Amino acid sequence: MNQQNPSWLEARDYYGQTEVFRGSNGPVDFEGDETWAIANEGQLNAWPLNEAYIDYVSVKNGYTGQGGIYDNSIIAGTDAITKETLGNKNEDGGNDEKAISTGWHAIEFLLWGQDETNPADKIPGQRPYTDYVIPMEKKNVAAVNNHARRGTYLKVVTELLVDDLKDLVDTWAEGGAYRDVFLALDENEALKNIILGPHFLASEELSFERMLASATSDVGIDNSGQEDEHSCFSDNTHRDVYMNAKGILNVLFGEYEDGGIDTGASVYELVKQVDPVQAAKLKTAIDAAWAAIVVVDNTSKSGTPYDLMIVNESEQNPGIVLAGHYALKTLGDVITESAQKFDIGLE
Amino acid sequence: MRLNIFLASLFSVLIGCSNADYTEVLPAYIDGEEFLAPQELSVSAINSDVFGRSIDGFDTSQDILFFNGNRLFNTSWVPSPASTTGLDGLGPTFNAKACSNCHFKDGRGKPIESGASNSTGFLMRLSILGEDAHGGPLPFPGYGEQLQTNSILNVASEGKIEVSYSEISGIYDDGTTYSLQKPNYTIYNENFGSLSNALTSPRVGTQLIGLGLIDAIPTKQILDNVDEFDTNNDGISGRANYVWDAVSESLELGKFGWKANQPNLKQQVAGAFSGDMGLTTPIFKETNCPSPQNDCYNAPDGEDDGVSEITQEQFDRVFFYQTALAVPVRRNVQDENVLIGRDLFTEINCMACHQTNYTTGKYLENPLLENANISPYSDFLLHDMGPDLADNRPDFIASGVEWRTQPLWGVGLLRAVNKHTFLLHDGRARNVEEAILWHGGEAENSKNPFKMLSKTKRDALIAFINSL
Repeated sequence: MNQQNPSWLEARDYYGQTEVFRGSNGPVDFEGDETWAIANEGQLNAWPLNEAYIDYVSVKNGYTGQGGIYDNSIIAGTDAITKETLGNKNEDGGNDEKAISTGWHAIEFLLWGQDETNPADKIPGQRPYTDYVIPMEKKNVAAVNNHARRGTYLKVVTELLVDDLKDLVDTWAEGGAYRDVFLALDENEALKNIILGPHFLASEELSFERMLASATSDVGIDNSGQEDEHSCFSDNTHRDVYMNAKGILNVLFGEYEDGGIDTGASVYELVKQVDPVQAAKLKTAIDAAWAAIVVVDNTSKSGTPYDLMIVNESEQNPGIVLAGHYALKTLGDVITESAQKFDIGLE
Repeated sequence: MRLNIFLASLFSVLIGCSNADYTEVLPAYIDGEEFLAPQELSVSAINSDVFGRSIDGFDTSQDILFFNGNRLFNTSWVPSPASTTGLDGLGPTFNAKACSNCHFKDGRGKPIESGASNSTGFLMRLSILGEDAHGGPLPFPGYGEQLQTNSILNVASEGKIEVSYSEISGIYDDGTTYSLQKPNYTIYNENFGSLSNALTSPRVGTQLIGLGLIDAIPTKQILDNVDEFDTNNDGISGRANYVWDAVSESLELGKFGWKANQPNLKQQVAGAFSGDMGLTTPIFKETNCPSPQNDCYNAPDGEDDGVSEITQEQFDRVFFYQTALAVPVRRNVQDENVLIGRDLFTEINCMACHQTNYTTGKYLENPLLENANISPYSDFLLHDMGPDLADNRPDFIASGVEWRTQPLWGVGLLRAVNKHTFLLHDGRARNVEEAILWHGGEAENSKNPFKMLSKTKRDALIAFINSL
């Protein structure tokens, strides 16, 4: 299992930075009928997911209890495993937003498996390679079946992810459908869309959904809230948070780091032209939010995984995750203020 | 000479009184009338998220309660066993998996449509003739008080419902015709015996704005509008419903629900978790599996160590969220036809039941809602609405022909939020005009004058209602 995992982790660092283009009337999630509205965000990154929909789950009482295997999943079933069927099964036709069969976290689940250990043990999911391959020396493999289907599923769902990502790359590239639409927009509308993305992450998706919720949640074993981290199988949420925040900075400061640093026109510079005092306020808020997020990332790297952080934190016992939430929420408010300097209302 | 002057003045008077010069005095916009609640408890928007916005003024704790309550509201609960041990326990029999299924975007559910076997937003209440120990509906043996049309794997659902509609036509005084659709419900695939002699009541989920404010209206202000014997002779005889409060174990004024059968918001929420989703709460701790539903009774539940499937913390969060949804500000309040419609609303006495101007009292559950002047456009009392609308299923004091006045605030935004305008207890009215035409019983006193109005004035009245 160790071969695939680093690739997933590395790829996620790029994806995390693209989430700043959500919530901005763009192709990844725009709900209109326009042909350029690909709207595949749900197929790409839906979360949380009901693991039992995809594959077997072990059901235990607590971290150390005995339990059984529950398996009424797609992998245990007989439906053909193709990109089309998996895509159609996602969200069960709109009936169940947790019936997730595709995307990053489906792959993550197939690679790592459930994270059933006590966060204090500091390990992520431990799916054995024997879920995919029956070792030569073992003829009777215990409860886990469907090795071949599991392997096919992993392969197919990854291909689907690559297809979905490519659709987005292509539409933003030279000659792509959305690129043309975007460049033809009225300037103020384009500017509004540009600012909406960082605002969406700072005021809502990153600050509330991924940080506040996880720190104050009570879902999962022992009602501890362990379940509620974004990349719960791999315990990689510190990178999700870090890269989402990096995306905010990319857009506000007009920078992108990939080897060297590409720079261009930025929202910050524009605010500075119009109102230097507001720009200073904006920079302070960005720096404060970034600093708070860096603390979360560093803390995880130095040995406290994200799920341990959130299990220890609560409303009564706030820590670095809640601090990150507040800093981002403040940044969201300052972004709204800054947009008003261009007579743009973000609602 | 005199005759000439007379003729000249007569002539000028006749010219002076031509249509171009003669206009009615327009009703005036009243400053602030667009607010149906204080500004900090209101939201000013017309997009599809307008019902889901919070009131202002939260401290950190309230931020956390509201946000997590919202998430729980949108959560799809899963059957046990599941690895998401905090979110399981669905069913075993249920109507919906998530609160948001029937109250999509905190809005109004849809009726069952012809040919469909299900609906996102509809359910059927059941009972049998008689009363339970507290004077409430007597559960139908084998089924209980509600038909749960869905179930988890290996457990039988209770039954299915379908509907057919027949048209009722009518004619306005000005000769314009109209058409209403009368629903005819059939329950089929009953799994625990025939329901052919059940008392039934079809219901859709309503919009959830301002519920904390309603919860905070002092009892006295509601009782002030009671006029059971129509002593003021206006044809309106609103009555209070007294219903069982499971926590205080006493009969209390009913405020919530289509027949005002829930005494407070907490019990309304707990009742919905139990009846609509099969989830136990700290208030209703028993799983909803009436005998002889053995598979239901024996199915695994989501209780961890005897704690209800919805924990106290989860319940507190969802409840707080439900108290704190802001009231939309009215739209188009200075339009001429809306102003004319506003005055017509009072002239033809809609206001007698769709009341305004309450002041909320003490409310520990959410002090931000205290001492607020609000206008929900309802007296929250029971009224005889006539045989055509009757469900013929008594509910505590409410008789088979009575319904609680539906609060009208937010009604004009259903199209933006829920992409439909189905109204009344089972969504049979396709728009405001039809909803008015269904008004019978006591409400004939307003419906008949409505039918006598010119089209322009009818449209003005409807425009006013849609501004709410």
